[in-house]
This record gives sequence, structure tokens and C-alpha cells, in this order.
Amino acid sequence: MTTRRLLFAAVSVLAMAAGTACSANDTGSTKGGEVVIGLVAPTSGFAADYGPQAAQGLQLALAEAKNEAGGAKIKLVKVDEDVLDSSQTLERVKKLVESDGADIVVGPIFGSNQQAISAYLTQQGVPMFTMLGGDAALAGDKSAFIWPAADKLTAAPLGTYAAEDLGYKKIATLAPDYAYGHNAIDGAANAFKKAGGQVVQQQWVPLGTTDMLQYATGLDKSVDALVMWLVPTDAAAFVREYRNLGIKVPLLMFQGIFDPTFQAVGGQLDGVVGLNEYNHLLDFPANKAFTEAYDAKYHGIPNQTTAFAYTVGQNIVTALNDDDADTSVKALRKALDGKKLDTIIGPASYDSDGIAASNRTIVKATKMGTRFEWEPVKTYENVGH
Amino acid sequence: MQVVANGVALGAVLFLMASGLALLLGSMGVLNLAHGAVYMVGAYTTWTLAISEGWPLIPAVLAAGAVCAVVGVVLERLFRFIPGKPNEQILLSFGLIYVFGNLAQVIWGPVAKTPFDVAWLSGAVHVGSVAIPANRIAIAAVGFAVALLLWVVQDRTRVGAMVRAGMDDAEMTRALGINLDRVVLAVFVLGSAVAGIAGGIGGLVLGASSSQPMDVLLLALIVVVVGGIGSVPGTLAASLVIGLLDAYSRYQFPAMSSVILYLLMAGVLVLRPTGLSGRTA
Repeated sequence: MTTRRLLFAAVSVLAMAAGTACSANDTGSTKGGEVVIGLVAPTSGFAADYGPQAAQGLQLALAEAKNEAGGAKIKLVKVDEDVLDSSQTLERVKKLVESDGADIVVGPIFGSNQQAISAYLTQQGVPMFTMLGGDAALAGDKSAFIWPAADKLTAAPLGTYAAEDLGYKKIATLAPDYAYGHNAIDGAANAFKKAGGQVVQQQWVPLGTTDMLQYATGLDKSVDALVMWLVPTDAAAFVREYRNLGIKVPLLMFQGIFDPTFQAVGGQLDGVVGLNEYNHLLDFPANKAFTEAYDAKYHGIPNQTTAFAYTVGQNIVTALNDDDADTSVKALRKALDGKKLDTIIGPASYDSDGIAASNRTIVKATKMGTRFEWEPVKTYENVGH
Repeated sequence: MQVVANGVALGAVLFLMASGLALLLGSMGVLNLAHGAVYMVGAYTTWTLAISEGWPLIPAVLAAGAVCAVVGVVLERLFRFIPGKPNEQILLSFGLIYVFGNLAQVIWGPVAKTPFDVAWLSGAVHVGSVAIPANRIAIAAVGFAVALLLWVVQDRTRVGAMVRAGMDDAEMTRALGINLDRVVLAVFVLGSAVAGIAGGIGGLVLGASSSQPMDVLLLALIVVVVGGIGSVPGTLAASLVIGLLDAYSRYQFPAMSSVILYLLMAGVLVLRPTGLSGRTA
């Protein structure tokens, strides 16, 4: 074969590939009346509990819809999210889309993986529905639909509540030194400043930190409160040091601490104020139905990952019902834009960029019977827009 | 002063993590990367006995040491298949990290156990403006006791002399009628028991987690590189230096704190490859 022929062949292959990509971008095929949803969440490693929890919620939502939406059957395919190596997650997502035929991706859980697969999914025209937040930059002209709100706004009500309801003037903050930690806690800090407060200290905990003593002793004790978010086990370790040292500065915890860790350390959190995205005690009919259905099937109390996988599953079914199972980003954006969604955390909606706004609940740690609970105190509506 | 107190407290934890590894490497020339996994077994065993089953802490920690001693026997048997082959030893022990980590997830679940809550070790001792949590004092006490024990065994006993002789010239030691295989087994058992005790007492501030095999290994390797192999005083000194440096950097240069330890390790490797103690394997 001559060089010219080789070049021609290469150009032809590239042109066909480009054509395929373009067609994927323009229309959302349903492959003979079937929509394939790919769930990307960890099932191995230190975050292995996320995957099964998300699968429970998503399967519950799809089962309620009888695994159908918009006249198409829904098939669920699960993929293990590699939390340490984003390139591995990207390869698995490529297989999910190209071999398993996923039309919609739910997940991943971790922001680094969302960033890693966003460009590919956008190029393929495959929508990515996040369950536990995400960077706003992944929506808009990219293919993400972000639930329950963009990271930069999701914790904002905690700052507002600290200034307006608790009357605090000066706070310190504590969060992990990576994108989600900065975005979430800066959102709360900015809201606090907007309400007239002053942020006098911000401590960022580097990834891999195992010892929290330095951050407890390093706190500026002149502040009115410490606004913090850490992953549950780190938060529990920090609170243990905090209590041992006898520090009296009130804690305001974004997310609080989830079960089962909360049940192990709840005695040290009595009266602590938090901000929940999901809470199983929320008094909405949809939440009561969900918690009952969960208990009937899995015998227990659902956590946030399960709850939001369930909600995102419901949102997808709603959109597919409205757009006759068209899975393209454009059709799903149009179907969800401004639509009032009756969710387990109350009324919610997506905007035209695919970013959700939903309720946040101020909570207080308390013991109810034999369990520690985050008791709802106040609701902030439409957080995120 | 608070930074110094924090640094010494962290140094004690680091010493407990690293001492078993340093002992094995220094005495036997075996780089057991599964050392962090043994530490994890000690942490989970202590959690099971002290938190789940309600045992007092001290018997639970000693039992964790005994369980890990048995794990040490198993590891020693495995390493016997590949004597004097460092590459194979590294591959085997690295693979064991994943085996132990996944087994821990199956047995204890994927969610990490929070730092162990022991009533008589709650609260802190206040000296002026400095506050030292009681559990850190307990860890430091155990750390220094272990350091003393290892130093006495290594430098002041007949067994220690046999270990050092075997390290210097195995053939000659065997020719003198010393059963070196039994000595190697004893060192494995002692090193693993120390790792188990470290995991148990370290659980007071670090809890138990299936990610510990890697987390602990990394910190332990830094201590061993800085301290030099086979020297208990060197390991102790390195632990304290690293603890103090880490505490100071988190206080003074928080953005750089995660890099400081690696810079220290790189500096030692370049300027003094034998570490603080100056000994070689």
C-alpha cells in the first residue's frame, strides 16, 4: 500500500469516527426501545460502601417505575469507580459506553472522577447525572446534571444560619484540602461574610492526614464557632480530639457525620448544629414513602448516598417519560429545565444548565430512643440557584 | 510549646508504627511491606475485643499483639520460600497488603472504625497553656516502653547477640551451632507482635481502617529511611524528629506540610543515606 493510500485510509477511518461521534451528540438512541443506565460508584477499596448503597437507591427508583420510562425498557449496568486512579475510571466508563451501550451515566461519586470522565461523556453526548454534588463547570455546555446543587452553593445556608439565627460574628473553618472541601466550605464562609460575619481562620487538612490533633489545638479559640466538613471518620477523629482537649467553641458541621460512624460518636455531638442535604426524618410524603419502601426491602434506614441515587433515578425516569425516552443531553435538559420535582427532600428543580436547586435542612444532634439523630430544625428552600 | 507536645505525641505513634519494620529490616534484612497490614490486624483485633466485646484496653492490646505474633509466624513461613531474594520478598509482601486489606473489608466492613473511646483515657492534661490528651500520653508511654524493650533485647541479651551475629555472617553463625532459622522466626514474631500492639494502642487516635496497610507503611518507611535500619535509638530519634517537623510545618506552613516529610526523606537519602543511626544492613 502506498503512503497516499495509507493516508487516505487513515483519513477515512477518522472521518467515520467523527461521524459516529457527531451522531452520538445529536440524538439519544434508545436501541430498540431500551435505555441503558450505567451506575459508576466504588465497590472496592476504602470507599467500597458507596457502590452498593447507590445501587440500592437506583434500583428502588427503577423498580417503582417498573423499569420503564417513556415507552422504553430500562437496563442497569454497574461499574466499579476507582477512587485512587481516575484514568482507570475513565477506561471503565469508555467500556460502559462503547461496549455496554450506556445511554446515561449515574455517578461517579468522587469529584476527581467526575472531572476525569466529563470531557469524554460530553464528546460522546452521554449525560452524567451526579448524585452527591459536583462542580458547576461540568454542567452548562458539558453533559452533567448536578444533584442536589453545585458544590459552591450547597453548604451556603450553614453560613447564613450562623450569622442570622445564631448571631455569630466571627468563625473559623476546617475542611479537607481538595476541591470539594474548598468549594463547600468556602460557600458557607462566603454566605457568612455576606450576612455581615467575619471569617478569621481557615484550616485546610491535606489529603492523607491521619492525625487531627494539630487542627484541634491550632484552632483560634476567640471565634464564636467552627464551621467544618470532613469525611465521617476524619470528622469523628477530630471531634474526639476536640472533646478531649475540652474546647468549648461550638461546632457547626456541614453534613454532620453519617451512620454508622455517627452512632459510634453521637454522644460527643449532643446539641451540635449541622446542615443536612438529606435526612431520613424529613417530613415530606415522598420521603416517608421512600424510607418505608427502603425498610421493607433492605430493613433499615437509608443514608444520603442511597437516598440521592433514588432521587436521581426518579429524576431520570421523569425526564424520559416527558421526552419519549430521548437520552440526548439536549432533550433531557429541556425535559428537566424548570420542572417542579417532588423529591424526598421537598420541591426541587434543575435549571437550563442542568444544575439542581433543592432544600437544605439545619439540624441538631440529639438522642432519640436508642439512636442518635440529626433532628431537623429549619429548612432553606431552593438552594443552588 | 503546644506544637512540641503535638510533635512528641505524633512521634510516639510513628515509632510504634515503624519499630517492627525497622527490627525486621535491620536484623534480618527482610523488607516486609506487609508490616502495615499486620498493624491493621492489631488495630481491628483491639477494636473487636475492647470496643465490640467490652474487654479492658490493656488485655485487648496484648491479645492483639499475640494474634499478630501468630500472623508473624505465617509470614515467616511464606518468606522462607524466597530467602535472600529481595525483589520477590517485596512483590510477595506488597501483594499481601491487598489480601489483608480486602479480608479486613470482608470481616469488619468497608467503613473505618473511629478512634477507640476508652473512658479512663478521655480528657487532657493541661500544663500552662499546653494541653496533651490523655490517650497521647498512654501512646507515648507504650512507645517508650517498647523502645526500651527492643533496645534491651537487641543490645543487651544473648538472643540479640545471635541476631546481630546472624546478620553479620550467617554461615559462621550457623557453624557455631546457632539455629538461625529459629532466630529469624523469633524476630518475625517479635516484630509482628510489636506491630499488633502498635495498631491496638495507636487505635486510640487512628481507629482501624482497611486503608491502614498502605498509610502506615508509607509513614513507617519514611521513619526507617530517616532513622537508619536496625537501630532502636535511631528509629526513636527519627520518629520524634518527623513528629516535631510535621507538627511545626502544619502550624507554620500548612500548605507545605504534606511535602515536608518527603523532602526530609529525600534530603537524608542524598546527604546521609545510612540515616541518623549510620548503620547499614
